[in-house]
Order: sequence, then structure tokens, then C-alpha cells
Amino acid sequence: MHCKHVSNLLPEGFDVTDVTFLSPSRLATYADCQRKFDYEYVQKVNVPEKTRLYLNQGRAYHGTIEVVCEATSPEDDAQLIYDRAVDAFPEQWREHIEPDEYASNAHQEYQRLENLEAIKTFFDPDGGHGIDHARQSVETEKWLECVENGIGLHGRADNILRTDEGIHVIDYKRKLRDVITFNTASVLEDHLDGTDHDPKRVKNAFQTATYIEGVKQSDLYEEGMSVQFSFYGLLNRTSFESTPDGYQISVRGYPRETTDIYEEYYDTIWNLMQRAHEGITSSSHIPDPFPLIHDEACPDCDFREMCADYLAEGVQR
Amino acid sequence: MSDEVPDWLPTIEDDEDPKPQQRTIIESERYPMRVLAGAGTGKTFTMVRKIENLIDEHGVSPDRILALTFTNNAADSMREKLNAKLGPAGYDVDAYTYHSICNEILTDYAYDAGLDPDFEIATDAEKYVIVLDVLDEIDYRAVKPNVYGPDSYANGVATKLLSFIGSMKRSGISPTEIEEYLGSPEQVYELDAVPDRVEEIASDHLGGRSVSTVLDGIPDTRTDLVAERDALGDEGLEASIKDFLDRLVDLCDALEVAFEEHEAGERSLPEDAHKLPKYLLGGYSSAPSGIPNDLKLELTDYLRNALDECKTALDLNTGYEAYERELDRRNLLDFDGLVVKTVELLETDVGERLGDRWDYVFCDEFQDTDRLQFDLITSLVSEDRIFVVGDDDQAIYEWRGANVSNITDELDDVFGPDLEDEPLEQNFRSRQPILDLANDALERLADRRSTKTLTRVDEPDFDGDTVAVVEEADDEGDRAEQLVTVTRNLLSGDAEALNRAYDPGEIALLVRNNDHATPILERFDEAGIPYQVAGDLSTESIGVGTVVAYLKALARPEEDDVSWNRVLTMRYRLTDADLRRVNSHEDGAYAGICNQPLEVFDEPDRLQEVREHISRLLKLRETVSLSHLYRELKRLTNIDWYLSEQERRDLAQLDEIIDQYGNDAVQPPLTPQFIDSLQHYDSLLEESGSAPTSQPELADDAVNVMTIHKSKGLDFPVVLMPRLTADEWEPGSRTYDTFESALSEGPESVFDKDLVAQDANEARRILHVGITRAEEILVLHGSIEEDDTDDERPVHDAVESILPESVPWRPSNGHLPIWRDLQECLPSNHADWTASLASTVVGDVSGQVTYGSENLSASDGRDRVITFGNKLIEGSIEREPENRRFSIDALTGPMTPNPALQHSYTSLEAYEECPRQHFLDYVVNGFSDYRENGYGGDGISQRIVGLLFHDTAEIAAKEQAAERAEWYAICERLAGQRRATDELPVAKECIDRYFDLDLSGWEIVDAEREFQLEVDGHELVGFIDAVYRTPDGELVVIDYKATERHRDIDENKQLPLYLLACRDLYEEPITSAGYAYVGDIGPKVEARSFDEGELDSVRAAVSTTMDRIKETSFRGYETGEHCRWCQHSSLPCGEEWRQEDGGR
Repeated sequence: MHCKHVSNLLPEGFDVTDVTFLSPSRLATYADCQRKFDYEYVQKVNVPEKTRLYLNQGRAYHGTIEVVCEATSPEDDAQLIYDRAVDAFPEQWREHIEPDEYASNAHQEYQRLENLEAIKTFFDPDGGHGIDHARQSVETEKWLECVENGIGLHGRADNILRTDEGIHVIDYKRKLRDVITFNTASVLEDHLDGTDHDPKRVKNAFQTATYIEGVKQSDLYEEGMSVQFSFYGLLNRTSFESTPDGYQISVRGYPRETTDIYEEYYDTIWNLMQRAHEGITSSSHIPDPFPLIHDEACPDCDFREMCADYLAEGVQR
Repeated sequence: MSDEVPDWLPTIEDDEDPKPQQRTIIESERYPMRVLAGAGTGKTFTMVRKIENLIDEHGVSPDRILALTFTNNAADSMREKLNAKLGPAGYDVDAYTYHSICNEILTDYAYDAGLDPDFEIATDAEKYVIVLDVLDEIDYRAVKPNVYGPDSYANGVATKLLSFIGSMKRSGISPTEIEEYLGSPEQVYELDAVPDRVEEIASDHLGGRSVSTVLDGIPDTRTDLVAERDALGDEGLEASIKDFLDRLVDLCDALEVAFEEHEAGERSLPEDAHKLPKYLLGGYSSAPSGIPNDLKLELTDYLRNALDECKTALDLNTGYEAYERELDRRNLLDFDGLVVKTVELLETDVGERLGDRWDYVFCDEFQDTDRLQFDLITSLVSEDRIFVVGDDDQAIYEWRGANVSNITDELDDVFGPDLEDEPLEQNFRSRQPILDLANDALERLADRRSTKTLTRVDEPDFDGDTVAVVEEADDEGDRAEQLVTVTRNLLSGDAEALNRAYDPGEIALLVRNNDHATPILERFDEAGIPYQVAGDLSTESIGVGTVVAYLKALARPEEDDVSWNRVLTMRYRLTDADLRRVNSHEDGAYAGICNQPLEVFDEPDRLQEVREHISRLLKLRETVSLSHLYRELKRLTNIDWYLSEQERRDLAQLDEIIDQYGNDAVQPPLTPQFIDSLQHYDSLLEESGSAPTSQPELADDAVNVMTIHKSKGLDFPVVLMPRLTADEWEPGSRTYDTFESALSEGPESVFDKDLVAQDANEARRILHVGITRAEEILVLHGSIEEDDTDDERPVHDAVESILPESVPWRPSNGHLPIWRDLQECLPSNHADWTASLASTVVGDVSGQVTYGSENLSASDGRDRVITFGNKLIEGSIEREPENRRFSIDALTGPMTPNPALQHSYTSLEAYEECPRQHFLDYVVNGFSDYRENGYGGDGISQRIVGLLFHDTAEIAAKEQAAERAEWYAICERLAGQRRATDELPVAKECIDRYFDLDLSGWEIVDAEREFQLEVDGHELVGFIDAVYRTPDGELVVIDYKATERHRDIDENKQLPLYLLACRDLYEEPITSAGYAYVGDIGPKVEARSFDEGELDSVRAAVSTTMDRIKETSFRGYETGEHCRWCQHSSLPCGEEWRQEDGGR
């Protein structure tokens, strides 16, 4: 977590001697609950995963996109890109899926079809967003880091596109449900002043900040380039149709750009990040504000079952 | 032996004379007879008495009588009541549950039924495993193959399949019949397009903008519908759809008539009435303007829903088939399969033979039987000698397959005019105002068959409110608080509106569903009101969570750090620093516990204890059943000791669930998901939780909380019923209900009735069951919905008046304005407690803490104790200037004085060993020390072995069982009931030793005889194990000893006391007594005679001891060998003894 020798890639004139680099996930975990951060990152308490199905699927589609983007040149034919994706998917699926995780072959087959459909739609030669993503991709799984406003941030970007205007960083997700929008972004201010609690959207904002600032301080950036960041939900809409011969699945994905939200809420986002950063570096782990955290964060927390702060409430009752 | 009465010992209760209505039934010789018996009218009492009467007065042999009921408890209780009344003959009556009779028949006629005689009943766990095994056999078209999620046991296709199989089997529907009804997938999908075509027809012809233009379109609509209808066949699914279309044709006719009348000025219709035809036939995508949204009568939806069920069934049926094959392959029958197989068997020659096996068949709770059980019962009846009792007004299991008309129309159909009806309407339970409310509310039940009116007889005086209403607050927390306030008032009893104060155990909170209870229980927790949740309600209990976490940690020791941390915190009380040390190990918490030097920890002893416990439990995990592992976990870690009283109550529920898994060969997988599911068991397998086959254990020191379904058959002085609102009681349709009626009643009856209306009726009966549980006070807590107004609803009224009879759906069927209805039925003397007992606590309610002269609230008191505790830990506590103490007035209702001291031989023996031990155990019922389990390494409890042997001996005596095999059978039965399978072999060894003794051949004169001995104003009680007559004709008192401890027969006081007691019990003098050793130090009998002088001196000595006990207190004590076994050896006296004894 600590890095005394900041990356050589930092812009000239940057003089940092002892910066703690943190990922958006860590910062967002802390912003969710300080004790959760203690359990997850300080004490490293291992949470048994309830299911690895989604994690593995994520690896399979991320892997497929990475393979396709790596292999694609800007001038490649759309059909060729599509074929490449359809060819790459089976191997990625085999590599990442654990059949024992499934109660039946039918279930695995259903999810395989769902993901395959997502890939096919994404790389559809006739207007699939993935065609441009592959052609414009300059790097996938790119490690980005930056020092901004006195704090260090780092993270791995799924895909970086070189567009006519500049750079577009993409983060692939399964669905966009609960991802921050302009309508919901005011919750960042509420989170900051302790009147509401929305760690998911706070995390989206932290990711946006990290990747935008990270890419600006990377070797890919040139003065004057515009920088954009988007989440992309590959399986955002799925539909299921039944027929006498079996079922059919269709899937549709689309992006959500959050660059404008970052600009609009810049101060709030950085205040939130700074507060989390300071808390983490000063090892302060007492949940605060606890009543809000208890009501909003505890119900979904993996550490709830062992958390002394949470259990104390119940025991007192 | 023990001084306690065995809890299973039959006692003669209800030893009162039957009332006239009951007597008529008991003495009647007319069969077949049906008794529609209202709540609280003593129906089971009447049935038992009728059976007694047959045996006693008519000389019917008990084994010619079959008595059937739903729960094992009810069957046992019936057998015991008969036994108490008739002696051993009572045990000869065949009292079974509807399922156990099938097991009995199939076991006897296994070959005829085509079964392997060694077949077994599939447990829930086995059923689930089989379902998982057959998932790939399902043809997935409309059903998604998902089996996952955070609690994968509750969701997805596996649960769907289980529920489908259950629904089908309870109605006796086989996979073949389903296949025949549905036809090919292509056909089903082709028919699936019919609703769309009907909607198109409506759009094409009925889009006019006035009544007259729409009227013009009706004939074309009709023609098109008739064409659709006539294209369909007369079999299976096609016949069902044809029948539906036929009803739509009727609707067209009715609409045409109504519109024509309107045009002729003979009928007025609301403004937008012209939209109705297109709307009713589903021509709009949603209700158009002018048609209220809550009309919900787009009729094509009913057809579409029915077809959706068909498509689901088409997929799941192959899974059902595969499940049946798999059961067969594993030689298993499931619960529903028992009945299916038995009914099949009864259709063969065996049926005739079995019809002769019993002369009389008695059936309790007949309204809860399903179609198959009805067939079963009617096949067992010979010469129509059947007696059926039940209450159609209390039929609340229709939603899981019960066929209410079994007790009405179906019986009429089978037995015709010969069927005698006798009513039971005289109620012995509830105060009349409660019954008035119940009677009035029943009037609203559509198609009610009964005409019963409940009337209270022998009502005692009562000075207080009986029916009270509380208008519920809008906010959930405030709502719960209202009931907390009501409860506190009931506990205090100080309010004028109350006749008396109530103990918590006298109050029941009866809810429609789990969600209604949760917020109230949270408030009960906060207010310190003790409660016990019965049956299938799940709660978030910290204590249960800790035990479950222990099981999860054992399931995946190397992966589940969270559960280890929970256990280390809550059971082993590790400090934060030690927890961090455990977690600091790079391989996780389990390695952190096991692979670090103990010296690194602040409290190495605790870590050592953790290691010992988990190493033993992990070894066991590999070899023993889930229930055995669970028992060992509790014994070894003594985890109960760390739980609050409330948590122990909550844990009892988990105990019960795990017990169900028994020690069967096939065990559920010990995965974290499975263990998680134990906490939410009701959602795992509904049949176990919510079936009429189980009844909850009740608490007498806590408010009993349960669903109304669970409360059936029970009664409570006070009943609280929350959330009585239309929304919360909204009726709905049930999964597979249309499909089920198509297959069990014929393809053309699918749309005969509105199943939502049927559910609304069931909801009203549920309300009735809830109301009639109350004896003295009924508190109704609810509110009116905005929609429940009496405003005019012209469109609803118009539709109501137009719809023809053949269309069963009506505008208001999906709505149950329960609170409005209740308001209209309230007795005139009801009270409104909203602003009184639901908002203010009257009088001095306990639950307050005093510290010196300060009065503190419960939570302030808690905080104060925690502050002191923290200071103590920090070493900063200072002595208070004055000697102040905490005192807590516990919330357990009015205090009752301690009963006068009662002595027993065991208590006197304890006193003689150490007065303090006696004081703690027999006077104040003191809290025991935390201690390691008292069991040997093999996990066998000598106490349980002893009880098994003694109880076997007693039953054997009562049943006159003199053969070893008979003793074995009794012992096996008892061990099964008590889940003491580990102890069974040892108890059987005791039986073997008994049969090596001569006295096993002597005549047994009495067994387990209770006595009360008066000694100089003191009362001494106990039980004499047995009195035998020796071959010389002499009587001898025998006390069985199944333990290893040898008794000194010369200096003994127990046997002389028994002989003294015998003076009052038997006319014949008894002078000899002895011990029969059947444990490891046996077999042997040591007996001798005691002369009068000896008996008198024992009497005098005992009298002196009892005089001394009058002055007993905590102060005096003796140290000695007994300290080793004392439950209180953590006291300083124990330490003293350890030092005297060389520090052992």
C-alpha cells in the first residue's frame, strides 16, 4: 500500500517522497464502513464466497474482450472481430468456469448462453459497441496511478480507447443497475455530510476519479486530449423466450458515461476521497456515523456475523 | 428412582361429564356420523369418549377401532387418554396419523404394493438431494435452469420442482396423467397463442366509442370466439380452453343484452361502459380512462395464467418422473407417496381384506384432509361405520392441498342420506363477546356450509374488557410500540379495564405471516418482554447465529474466517488483541488458532480450549450425523451457558429442525449454504414447517408467538392479532391451482370457480381460527385502507350486474376489507384501547432497575452495569461511598409465592451431604456453574440410559409385557421418541441384565407408584419403581439401579421410606425392599426385610432433618467428595474442598 518511490511516469516537477496509494475499492470500502475496512484490508479476514458464479463469468467476458482487443487492429473488418470474439469465448469460459459450482449442467449451459449472447451482441458486426472498442483499444488491463490533491490513487483499467477526441477509459460490468447517474449523483453530497449512505455510487465516483486522473498521468496522455470514462454493462438487458424446442436468450448491453458527473461533483468526490484516505492512513476504524452505517451498511456486510460493533447492538437489546 | 413424574405418563384429565350435546354424540349408535364441531366445543374429547363408550358399553374390542388424526402429538395424546381411562386396553386402539396408517399398511402388505419390505421414508434432506440429482432431466423451455443465489436452497428450479411434486402428489396426480392432459410441447405452445388471438378479436371489433357502436361489434366478436372455440378438441388442455371460450361467448351474450337494454332506455350504464367489452376481453394493454385500475378483470389474463402453469408443468413433469424413478431406485417413499401407494394398494384385493380389519373408523380434523386421504379413509370403512369430526369453518390448509369439501359434499356423495349430522356448538373456551364476533364474522363467508352458532356454556364471572380494538399507527415502530404497551398493561393488570394481571405465557401473539411478527419482536426485545417463537417463524437471534456460525466454521474451517471470529468472540470471549493475532496468520483464522505458539496470546488458556474443542468436533464431523455433531457441539462447548434465556428459547427451534435430520444414513451436505438455510427453514421446505402435521411446543413463561396456522387447536387467555388490514390480508391465487383442478376435477372445471375468491374465504377462516383461540381477551390491531370506503363504484356495479354466472370472476373478489368487516361485526360492548391501554402504561409495571435509591430505565441500568464492567477491566473502578446494589424487578408477570417446600429422598440425601447444595438446588433453584459436559467420552448419557430403562420397565408393567423382545420394542420406541439412539444399546444391556434376574419371572404388582408421605407435618413425595410378589407370595419393593454406584443396604434410608409409604398404599403389609442392579455392576438383587423399629427410627431421623431444612439458607455448607459432582463448585466452598483434597 505504501510507496516511497513514486512511479517514474509521474509528470515532471512532481515531488513526492512518501505517498500512500489506494485503490477506489479500498477507499469506497472505507467510505462504506471503517470497521469493514479494518476486517477486509487490515486484518484480512477471509470471507467464504457464497458463490463464485458471477466472479467467474466476469473473468470469462473480461478475458474474451481482452483477447479480442489485443488481437484487433483499427482497420480490421467487423465480421472478423466478431468471429474472433466468438472463437475466443469458449476457451475463456473453459478456463474460468468451475463446473462444480453449478448444481446442474443445465444451469451452466444457461449461463454460458447468456454470456455468449452478451459477447455476440457486444461484437455484433452490425452496430455492436464492441467493434469500436476493439478497433480503438490501445491497451487493456492497464495499471494506472496518480497523485492528485496530495493523495495517491491506483487501479487497473479494463480497456483504454483512443478516440478522435482523446482517451476513453472503459470499465466492463455485468449490469448498470445501481451505477451512478446524473439523477442520483447528489447522493454523493448526502454521503459526505452524513445524511445518506450510498457506498456503491461513491465507489463509482472514486473509480471515475481514479481512471480519469490516472490516465492523465500515464504515458498515454498528451496535452490537450479530452479524457472520458464510462461503465459498460454487457448483460444489462436480458430476455428469455420459451419455445416448444427450448428457450432462447437475447442480451443487450450499453454504456454509461460518468465524466460529467465527475466534473460536476469534483469537490465532493475529492473531499470524500480525502476523508477516506486520511482515515485509512491514520488507522482509524471506529464506524462513524454508526446509526447510519448500522441501518444502511450492516445488512449487506459480509463481516456482520463477526462484527463486534454490530453484535453489541443486538446483545444490548 | 426419580422424584419427578415422567412427562409422558398418562393422566386422567377431562375427567368430567360430557355436556348434553356431547353425550348425544357419544351414546349414539348411528353411523356413518358427521359432527361439524365449532372451535372450543371439545370435539376431540367427544371423539375419545365415544371410543371409550364403544369399548366399555358395547364390548367392542379395542383393536377393531381405528382412530385417525393429523399430528403425532394428537395421536399420542388420544392413546394416552384412552389408556388413562381404560387401562392397557386403551393402547390396543389403533390410533394413527393419516400418514402413519399408510406406513403401517404398506409395511404389512409391501409385496402386494410392489414395494421392497425394507422401504424407508425419505427425509426432507433426501428429497432435496434427489431433486438436485434430477435437475438435468428437466426439459427447460419456460422454466429457467437457475439454482443459485445467496440462499440457493430457497430459490430457483430445485425449490420449484419440489413444490410442483408436492402439489401434484397431494392430489394424486401422476406424471403420466400430466402428460396426457398437456399433450405435446408443440400443441401446448400452439394453444398458448389463444389469449393473444382473443385480444385481437376484441381489438378488431370492440373499439367503438359509444355503446351503440360497440354493440354493433359484439356479434362479430361472438362469431370469431365461437370459431376459435369450435376449432378445439374435447380432451385435455384443449377442452379446458374450449370451456374458457364458451364462458366468453356467454359474456358476449350478456354484454349484448345489457347494451341493448341500455339503448332501449331500460338500463342505465356508467359513462365509460362502452369500453367494458374490449376491456373484459383483454383488448386494451392496460385499463383505459374511465375503467378503474382496481377492477382487475381482463379475463384473458386468467387463461394466460393457466397456460403459463401448463408450460411450467410441461417442463417440470420430466423432473417429476425422474424424481419418482430415483425414489424407487433408492427404495424410498416420500410422505405424499405413502398415501398414493396406499390408495393404489386399496384398489386391489388387499382393499377388501383391509376393509375388514377395523369395525369402526374415527377421523379427527377431517376438514384438513386432501383428496387422496379422503379416498384412503373411505376405503378403510366397513359397513359405513365411520365417525367424522371437523370444522369446515376452520379449514385453513386448502392452500396446501386440503379439500374442504371432503367434510361436506364429498361425504354426502359417498354416504348419501344415511349420513347422520350432529352439531357441537357449545363452547367451553371463549367469552361470549369473542364468540359473538366470531359468529358474525363467519356470516360473511361465501358458500359457507355450516350454520353453527357458537355459544358459551358455564361462563365464569369476568370484570373487564373482552374484545378490544386498537387502531394501528402509520409508522411501523409506533405500531409495534402500541402492542408492547398493551402487553405491559396486561402483565401489570392494574388498568381498570382488565379483569386481572396475566403471565407472559398466557398471552399469544398470532400473526398472519412472519413479517407481521418481526417488528413487534424487536420491540419486545427492547422492552424485556420474554417471548417464544413457535414453529416456522424465523428470527434474528444473536445466540442462534453464534451456534450456526460454529457449524459453518466446522463445515469449512479453512475458509470461513468470519464464522471463526464470531465463535471466538461470542463463545470463547477472546480479546480484540488476541483476535487480531488469530487473524494475522497468513493462512487465515483456522491456522491462526492452531498453528501459533500459545505464548503469543494474552489468554493462552482460552486458545487451548478452542483448539481442544475444534479438534474433537472436526474429527466427529467426518464420521457422525448432523444431529450427532450438533449434540456434541452443544455438549462439548456448553454453548447454551453463554446464551440469554431468550436465546435459549430461540435455539430450541434450531434443535427441533436439526433433530428432524436424525441419524439417517443419508445426511444433508454440511455446506455453509445448507447451514444458513437452517435459520430460514420455513422457506426451505414448506411442508415441514407449515403442514397441519406439526404442532408447536408452548412456553409458560413467555409470550407465545406463532402464525395463526400453528395456533390451531390451542387456546390462550389473551390473544393479540396485529396487522388486520386489507393489504396484509389480500387474497391471491396459488401456484398450480388451476392446473391441479384441471387434473383432479376434470379439464372442464378449471374455470368453474374464482380461486382468488376461494383464497379470500380461506383468509376469513384463518381470521376465525385466530379469534377463537382467545379465552378472555382478544385484541384486534389494524386499520382501514383508503379503498375501503363505501363510496359508489358505478363501473364495478355495472360489471357485477352484467357478468353471467358462467364467468366466476367478480370485481371485488381480490379484495378483503378485513378491518372494515371486523368493525361491522364488533360486539356492542367492545372497547377501543387505541388511546388508553395501547398508548399509556397503567400502574406499576415491572422491568425497572433500581440502583441504590435511583430508579433507572432498563437501558440506563444496562449502560450503568457496562460502565462499571469497563472500569473494572481498566482497573479504574472506585469504591462507592455507600453500599448500593442493583435490583431488578423482572418482567415475568405477577410474582407468585414459592410453593411450600416439598421433600424427596433425593433432596434429603443432598441436604445431608451439604446444606448449601440443597438450598441452591431445591429451595431457590439456583443457576448451575458453567462446566464441561457431564458426559463420558463416548457421548452417552447415563441419566438418559437410566430413564430409558425405568420408563421401559414401567410401560412393560402396565402393558403386561413379560418377554425380553417386548421390552426391547418398548425401549426402542421410547429411544426413537427421545432421539436417544446412542443410549439405546446400553439401555438394552440393562434389559438383558434384568432378564438374568429371577425377579423378571415374578408377578409384578405395581409400577412407578407415586406416593406422598406425611411425616410430622412435612410432606415427602416420590415414586416407587416396582412392587413384586415373590414365588413365596411375599411382597417386595424394588428400586432399579441402572448406574454403577453401589448402595449400602444396611445404612440405607431410601428403602425404609418406601416401606413407610407402602403402609398407606397397600392393604397387604410389605416389609422387604431391595435394589435390582441392572447396570455394569449387575445383574444382582440385594434385598432384606426391615423391622418396625428400624422404620420408626428412620422416620424420626428424617423428621429431624426436615425440621432442620426449615431453617435452610445459603450460609451453611459441608465440603467433601460430593463437591466433585456439585453443580455449584465454582463457589468458594468448592475451592476450599479442592485445596483440602490436594488441589484436584
